[in-house]
Amino acid sequence: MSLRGGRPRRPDAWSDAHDRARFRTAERLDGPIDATESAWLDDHLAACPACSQAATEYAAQRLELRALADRPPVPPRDLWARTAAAIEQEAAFREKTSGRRNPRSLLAPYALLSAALVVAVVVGTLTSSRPPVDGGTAASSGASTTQGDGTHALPPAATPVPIGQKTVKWITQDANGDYRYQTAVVEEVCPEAAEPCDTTAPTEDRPVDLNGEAQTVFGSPDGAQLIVVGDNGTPQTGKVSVLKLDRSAASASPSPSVAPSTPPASTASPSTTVPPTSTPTTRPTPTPTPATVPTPTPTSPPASGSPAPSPSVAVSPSPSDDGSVQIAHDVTVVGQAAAYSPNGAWFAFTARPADGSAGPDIYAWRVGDPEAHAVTTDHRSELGSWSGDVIVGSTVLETPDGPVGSSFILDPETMTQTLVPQTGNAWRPSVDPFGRQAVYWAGHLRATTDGPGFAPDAGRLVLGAWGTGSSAPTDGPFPTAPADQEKDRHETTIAAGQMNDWDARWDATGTKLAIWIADAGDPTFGRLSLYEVDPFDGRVDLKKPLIDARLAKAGYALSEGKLVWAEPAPDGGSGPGPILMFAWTDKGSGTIETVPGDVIVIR
Amino acid sequence: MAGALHTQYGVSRAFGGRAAVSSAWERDAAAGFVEELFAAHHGEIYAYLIRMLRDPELAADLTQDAFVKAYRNYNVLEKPENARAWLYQIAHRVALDHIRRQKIVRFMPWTGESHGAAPSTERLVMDAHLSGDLQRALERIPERQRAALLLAELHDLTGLELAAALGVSHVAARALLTRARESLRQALASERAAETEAESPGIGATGRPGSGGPR
Repeated sequence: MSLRGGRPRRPDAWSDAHDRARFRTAERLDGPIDATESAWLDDHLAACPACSQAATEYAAQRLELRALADRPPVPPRDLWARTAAAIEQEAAFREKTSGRRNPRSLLAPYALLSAALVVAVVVGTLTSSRPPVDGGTAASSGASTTQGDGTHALPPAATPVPIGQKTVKWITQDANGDYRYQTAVVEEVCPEAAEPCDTTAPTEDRPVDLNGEAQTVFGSPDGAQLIVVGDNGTPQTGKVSVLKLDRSAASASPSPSVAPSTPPASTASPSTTVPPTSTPTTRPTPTPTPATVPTPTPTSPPASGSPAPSPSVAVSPSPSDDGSVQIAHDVTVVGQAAAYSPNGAWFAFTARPADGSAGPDIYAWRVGDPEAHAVTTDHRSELGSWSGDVIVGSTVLETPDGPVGSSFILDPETMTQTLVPQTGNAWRPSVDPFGRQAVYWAGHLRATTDGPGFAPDAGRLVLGAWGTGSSAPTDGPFPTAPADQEKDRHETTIAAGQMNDWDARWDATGTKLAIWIADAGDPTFGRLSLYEVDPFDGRVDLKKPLIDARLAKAGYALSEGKLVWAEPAPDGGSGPGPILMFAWTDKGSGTIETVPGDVIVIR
Repeated sequence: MAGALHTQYGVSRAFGGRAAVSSAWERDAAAGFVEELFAAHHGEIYAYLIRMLRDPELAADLTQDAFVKAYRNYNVLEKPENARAWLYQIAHRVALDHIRRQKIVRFMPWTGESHGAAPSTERLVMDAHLSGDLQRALERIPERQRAALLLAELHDLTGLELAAALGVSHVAARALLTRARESLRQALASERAAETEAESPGIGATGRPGSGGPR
């Protein structure tokens, strides 16, 4: 073969003359090089025995390589039969799906996978995604395109993007049905449309007892423990357990990006067991009104059952044989907003009794405590997010037009709850790390049908200003919305109309916003988008997503520099999909994915 | 620029579409076209994959995958004379995909047969055929460099074909090939030094050096 030489490299760009000579010698094997360089090379080779030896070795290795061609391997005799069968299968699949365009119909088979066993854990703050690829099938990696002149339209030269060392952690199930905790370190990702790039990473692989089926797993910021939310559909229904990770039990070297282990200690004081993280601890500045405990109007209690006067969720400590501690049991965890506080000292979630006897309340668990405590008791409150060290939650108020959300902030240390009526009818706000803006539901709510609780009805999921509204705080117990909330809070619509669920999260730097919106028919799946946040004015351009509505299972992780999520199987076929990671640095961004595995990403 | 062309493969087909094969007619045409491609090129594609991966069964599986992908993306090939390079491009990506997944798969469970099982007879036969310091040195260099060398030296791809198969510009392909030659030279020297050391009196066989080659 022959290749025309590219632009000559500047002679002074070489580390030394021998380096230059070896490169040019190898280059000249494949075609002519620049005449000046060629003359220089001849002179150098004549004077340099080592480089001359290298030239001889290049020529010899070429002969050796070509000699391998004399022994061509013989393909198996049944190769065509196998290939033809595979093509037939592919054709049948395409015939079956050629008229299918409704994403909902593609989602349907995935719902069947939710009982599968792999739990992917992305530790730290992580979120991953891949740039939009229509179809997202394996074909995308093998396809080439052709330009109008018949030459191949070449994808960009693959230059993997180094991302440092980003650790991905997950739990999976082995052939014996036992859970295993595993980690991977990813050092580079592939830019969009480039060929696959390589990754090499150490592994950590150890058995872990999740004490039953797992629905969701959360990793603590210090990497020392996992919070496992049990599968609501199993007999061991609805328990929330804390598992200490024994770092010394790792079968391989732990990933370097994991913070040094700090014993989570189920008995010690949290102030001594949880080191603060580097994440911002900026408290929101929502100009709170005087503390007022929200007292919902007595109209229409949330679905079935009457509110109990005390927390109806069992939270008694239940240490199990494996050392895990049940911080809540007989509960159904509600919504996607559960999270550790930024400093790792608390974990908050929304739950209601598994027997449906009451509606949802917010629970907070101080790391190290034996149990979680309800921090609301109105059975109609849900967690929105953490904002610094305080919980941002919402309750539901009855109005003549129907139920609407109203938010409050709550300090789990002092149990001080403060209404923030100036934020309007904001339900389940996810507040950015600087308390400037939030993603929330602005509209009416409806009673859920699968148990007492609320869900979005008519309205919009919006991005709006937070904490600096012009409306004055109200004096009464029931906050009122600004007259023109949309204008007053500079709300930008993300999605409108009835929806099942959503999960909006900001990364710790406040420069990325991820929003997952559940599928209308099956809330275990949805679409995930990632947006850039202007670091100066906090503006989010919703029209230019970094990740645009990628199919994703419920539960993703967003952290500094990476987004990780689980994708359903490609082609609508049976079987699990891969875990994807979208990572970015100031030098670029790209994606990488694992082999398929039915996963729940740990948040 | 869709149009029916008679190709060297003897199958009339429409070129220039962008979508994957969809209609029944296109599926039939694509199947016929890929059958012709398979007859003409499956041996060299299989050889390339086995040289890249050194696993006959895996190479057969990936050859099958490559032709299925060719079928699936039949419409994106506009000029049949580019079919060979196009096939190599698909095979190259299939191979790299596998290698990449293998590296990541190390973190995922393998629920089927054990990775630690004894090597198959086929594998042993392959090793006998391909073993030697050159093969070991080839394994030590980065996959893309290895691919460039194999495609250029053993599979006789032209410069443009090599660039197309590797999915890079021809300048980048040439640079990759140049780096590959130097990487192989160093890896080969290292292999031979280790071999010499192992054969020296008083020094036991210490095995081959690690697989981490120059990047």
